[in-house]
Amino acid sequence: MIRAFHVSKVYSGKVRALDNISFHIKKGEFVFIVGPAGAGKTTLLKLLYRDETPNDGQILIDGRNIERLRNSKIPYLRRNMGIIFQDFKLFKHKSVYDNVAFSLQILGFEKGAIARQTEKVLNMVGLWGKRNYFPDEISGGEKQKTCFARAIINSPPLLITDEPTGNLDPEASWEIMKLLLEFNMRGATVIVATHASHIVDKIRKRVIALIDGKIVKDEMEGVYSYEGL
Amino acid sequence: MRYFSLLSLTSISTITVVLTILCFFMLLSENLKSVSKQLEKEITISVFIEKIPTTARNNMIMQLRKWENVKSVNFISGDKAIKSLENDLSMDMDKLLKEFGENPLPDVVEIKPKSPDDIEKIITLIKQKFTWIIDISYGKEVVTKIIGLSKSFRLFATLLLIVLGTSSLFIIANTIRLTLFARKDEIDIMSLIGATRTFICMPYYIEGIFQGLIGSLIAVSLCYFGYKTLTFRLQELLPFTSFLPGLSILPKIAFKISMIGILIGFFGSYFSLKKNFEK
Repeated sequence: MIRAFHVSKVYSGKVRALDNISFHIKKGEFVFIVGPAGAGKTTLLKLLYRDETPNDGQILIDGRNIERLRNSKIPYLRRNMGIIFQDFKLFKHKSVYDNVAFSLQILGFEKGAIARQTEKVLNMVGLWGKRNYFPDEISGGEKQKTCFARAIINSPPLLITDEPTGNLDPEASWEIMKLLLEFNMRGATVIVATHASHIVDKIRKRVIALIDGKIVKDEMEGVYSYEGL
Repeated sequence: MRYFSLLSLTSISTITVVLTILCFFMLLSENLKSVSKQLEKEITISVFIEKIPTTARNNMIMQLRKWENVKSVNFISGDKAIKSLENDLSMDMDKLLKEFGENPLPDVVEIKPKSPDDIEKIITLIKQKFTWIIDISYGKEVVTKIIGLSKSFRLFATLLLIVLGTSSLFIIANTIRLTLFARKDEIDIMSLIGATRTFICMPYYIEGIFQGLIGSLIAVSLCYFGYKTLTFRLQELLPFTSFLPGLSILPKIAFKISMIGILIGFFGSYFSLKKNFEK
């Protein structure tokens, strides 16, 4: 599904965020991207959803070189992926329901379909009862569930998450991880950039570890640890 | 919300001021155009001739009437002219005539051209064909000044449109930019979840157009009532003046002003959004 070939990203001509990395993520895989702060995890994800372009190398998603995409085509790339952020990125003036439904409004779905699908995913994450609440009125875990619902509402084949549990307590973190695992079990590819070592070690999925922009470890059923590498 | 309303109010106020000034200039320009057109219609070439035999005079008039660029020809004898002067001045001219010995006023052939552009041509031909010409006049200076003033006014109005229009365009662009900055997070989120640029920008284009339209409607309304009041007062003070009725010229001007307002609003948004997305 995703192939990266000798990808490098340099900021301001000096800071090498990614240094000649290559990897292949197959369809349906669940992958953790781990590493210390500044390792290049977020940069890698930004390259995947084309918020940045690499200075060297290529990234192919489903055979398409996304680096060559025109700016007008980027929205269509992002419609095939769900993105979840550590800081949630919810619309403050929209309710939980409207935040989730907005993804389908952008896609031009008709009102009935939007209503049905929104109800379905909100029930899935257990937030139907709070659909009329605003982001300021719900907890961190509920916010992240709202983000999850928004990200998966149109069943994207790829889900990219950047520190999805970064601002959550352990219980809420596990709830989110369960949702991610369930979504993965349905056949979607899930990529999770995280610092949560206990989660990585418990779940034992593929782990790609980055240090100073380089891949130092790529293990199936891996653990968080990258020290000494 | 209050902040955004204030920003919108700033844009609308700016457009209103700009378009009110423009509208006012357009109204004045229309009046000047009307005056110069009226003057052009009234232009008469007065050909002062020596006392010539009647046959020669009638022959001259007949020839002039046949010229293709002459609308009408009228002969006023010196005697008729003195009588007319007597009535206008309400004076007994006999005493004055005794001083001069004879009627000093010459015979006049008044020629109305079909177009003001033919005046010089007609005058040249008259001078070539007829030898008993004392003088020819047609109020050239007055007509030239009025036409020149009208042209200058229109040029000034156009320059004013460019200068004020550009200023208000920048103000709107900055207003939209401030709104975009305030909504940056929202726009980023929309972009990240797959909204196209058109989807994101359309509300701002509509906002700009709406601001332009509201501003222009207010401007036209202010101008209409201002013009009505001003012309009424001026006609009271100067009864010999006449102005075009507001309702006769306003629809055309209102349409132009609305279009200008909409364009200013749209392009203000366009340039601001373009700059925002180029970053």
